[in-house]
Amino acid sequence: MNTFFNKNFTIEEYHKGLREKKFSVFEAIKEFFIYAQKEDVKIGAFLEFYKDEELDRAQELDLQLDKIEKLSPLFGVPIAIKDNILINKHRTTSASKILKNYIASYDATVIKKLKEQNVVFLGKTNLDEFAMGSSTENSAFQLTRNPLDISRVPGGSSGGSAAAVAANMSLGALGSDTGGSIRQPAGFCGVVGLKPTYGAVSRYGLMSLASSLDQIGPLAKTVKDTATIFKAISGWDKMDSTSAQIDYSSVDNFEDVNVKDLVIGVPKEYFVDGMSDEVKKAIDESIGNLRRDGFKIKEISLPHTKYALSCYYIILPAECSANLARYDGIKYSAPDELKGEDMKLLETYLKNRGSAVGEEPRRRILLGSFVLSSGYYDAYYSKAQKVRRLILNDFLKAFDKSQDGVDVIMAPVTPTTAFKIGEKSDDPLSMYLSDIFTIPTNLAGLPAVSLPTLGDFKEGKLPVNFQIIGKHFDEKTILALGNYYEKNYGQLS
Amino acid sequence: MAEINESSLEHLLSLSRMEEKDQNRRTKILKDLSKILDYFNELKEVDTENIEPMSGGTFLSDVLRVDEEKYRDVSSKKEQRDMAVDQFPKNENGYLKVPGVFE
Repeated sequence: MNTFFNKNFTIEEYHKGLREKKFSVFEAIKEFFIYAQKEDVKIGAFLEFYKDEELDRAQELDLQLDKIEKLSPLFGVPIAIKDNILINKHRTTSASKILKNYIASYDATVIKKLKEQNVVFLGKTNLDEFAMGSSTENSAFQLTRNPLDISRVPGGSSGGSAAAVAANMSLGALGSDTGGSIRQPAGFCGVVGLKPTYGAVSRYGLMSLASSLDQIGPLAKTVKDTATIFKAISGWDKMDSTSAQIDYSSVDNFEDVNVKDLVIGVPKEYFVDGMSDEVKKAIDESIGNLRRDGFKIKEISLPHTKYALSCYYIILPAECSANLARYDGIKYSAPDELKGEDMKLLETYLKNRGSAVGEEPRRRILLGSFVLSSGYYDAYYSKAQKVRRLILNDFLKAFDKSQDGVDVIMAPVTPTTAFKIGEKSDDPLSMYLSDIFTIPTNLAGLPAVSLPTLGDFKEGKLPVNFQIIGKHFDEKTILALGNYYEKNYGQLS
Repeated sequence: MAEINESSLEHLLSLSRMEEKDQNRRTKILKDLSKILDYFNELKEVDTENIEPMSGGTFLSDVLRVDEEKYRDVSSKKEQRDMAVDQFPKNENGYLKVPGVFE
C-alpha cells in the first residue's frame, strides 16, 4: 500500500486504482491518515484530522462502489479543506482565537458539491488568520513548514493546503485566493493551484475576507487534477448573488484545445527590479521552451501594474474591516479568554476583538477604518477603486482581439522562492510585496493557474511557479496550456 | 496625504471596537500604518480623471432573489438555528442574550 505516496500518484491514477479494484477506499484512506498524521508532526499543515468519521464513510463508500456503474471523478478521493470554509457540524476557525470554539451549522456550497461527488475529507488545513498573510505564520494556532525545506514558509494564506498536497498527505485541497493565496503557496511548495474567475465558484460558506476579490479554488499535483476539482466546485449558486450563470461543461474537454494556436503575452512590467535571479532564470527558461515549440510569444504592456499593490491594500482592508465586524466574540461562540466574564456590551466587544484577534487582522481592520473614514475616503478608497478600473482596462486591452490582443498572459507568481520562517514576519510591507505579481488578477477578477516551471525539485533547489492568466471565464484555455506545459516540461518525476 | 497619530489611532480603535492598552504595541501599529500609508502616496501620480470607480469584482448587474423560503433544506433549518443559538455565550428562549447596551 505504501506505493500510494510516491510523487507520481495523482487523483487520476488513484481513481483508476479504485475502479480496477487494486485497493478499497477504506484501505487507501486508512493509509492516508496513517501517513499524514505521522508526517504532519513535522509539517503542521492540518489543524484537525477527521480520521474516525471519514474511515466510517470510506467503508460506506466501499459498499457503494460495487453498485455504482459510473463513479464520479472524485469518488473516494481524499481532499483537505482550508479552515475558512464551512463544513457542517465541524469546527471552522479561520485560524483565529476568536473562532476557536465555533462549530459551523451548514455546509459551504463547495462542500455540498464535493459531498455529492463522495469525496473523503481528510481534515482542515492551517492558514494565516482570516486568510491575511503570505506565509501562514499569522495562524493563531500553529506554524506550517514548507515540506521541501522545513526551515522555510509554505507561502500563504492557503499554506496548509499547499503543504498537505506537496507532502503527499492529500491528493488535492481547497484554498481561497483573495490576492494570491492559492497561487503563491502553490508556487512555494511546487504544486498546481487555480484561482478561478470571480463568480465561477460560489463563496457561500467561505468566511469573507474581501468580498469583491475572494474566490475558492483547488490545489493539486497536476493541472488535470486541478481541473477535475474545479469542475466539481464551479457553477452558479443561488446562495451567492455574485456567482455567474456560466456553463462550464466544456472544461471537461480542455485537453482538446489546440494550444499551438494560442498567442501568449508576456507583460514587461512583471520583469522588474526585485525579482530574484533564480526566479527570473526559471521563468525565462519556461518562456523559451514554449517559444522553441512554436508558440507565438508577444511582449505586452500592463502599464498600471505598478499601482496594484497600493490599490489592493486599500480595497482589501476597507472590505475586511466591514466583513470582520461580525466577529465580536458573541455571535459565533465566545473565545476561551473571556468566557463567563460579566461585562457591558461595548466592553465585551473591545476586549474580545482586542485580545482574540491577531496582529495582522487588527492592522488591516484599522487600515480599512482609516481609508473609509470621512476626510480620507476620496483620497484613498475612491482613488483605489478608480485605479482598480485602470488595472482591469489594461488586461481587457491586452486581450482585445480587435487590437491585436493575446489569448493568455504568462507571468511569474512570486518575486522570490520560499523565504525563511521569520524572515518577513516583523515587516508587514515587505510581506505585502511578496504578492505583487498575483494581486492584479484578483483586482481584475481574472482566472489564473499557477504551476511549476519544472516538476523535479532536486535537493536544495526550491520550486518556481509561473502563472497563466486568462480571459474572464476562460479557465478552459489556461488549463489547456498549463496541461501542455506540464506534460512536456513540468511532469513530476 | 497620510495623517495618523496617537489621537487618530484612538479614534480608529474605537470605530473598530478594539482595545489596545499596550504602549509598545500602539507604537508599532502607528509605525506600521504610517509606513503603509506612505507607500500609498504613489497613487497620487495616477491620472484618474473621468474614470468610473470599480466597486465590485463582477460585471453582473444587481439581482433580487425571488421572495421565497431561502433555505435549501427546510427540515435542517431548526437544527441550524439551534446550533447557532447553542453557541451564544448566553441564550434565552432561542434568542441571544447580551449585556445591557445603555448604562
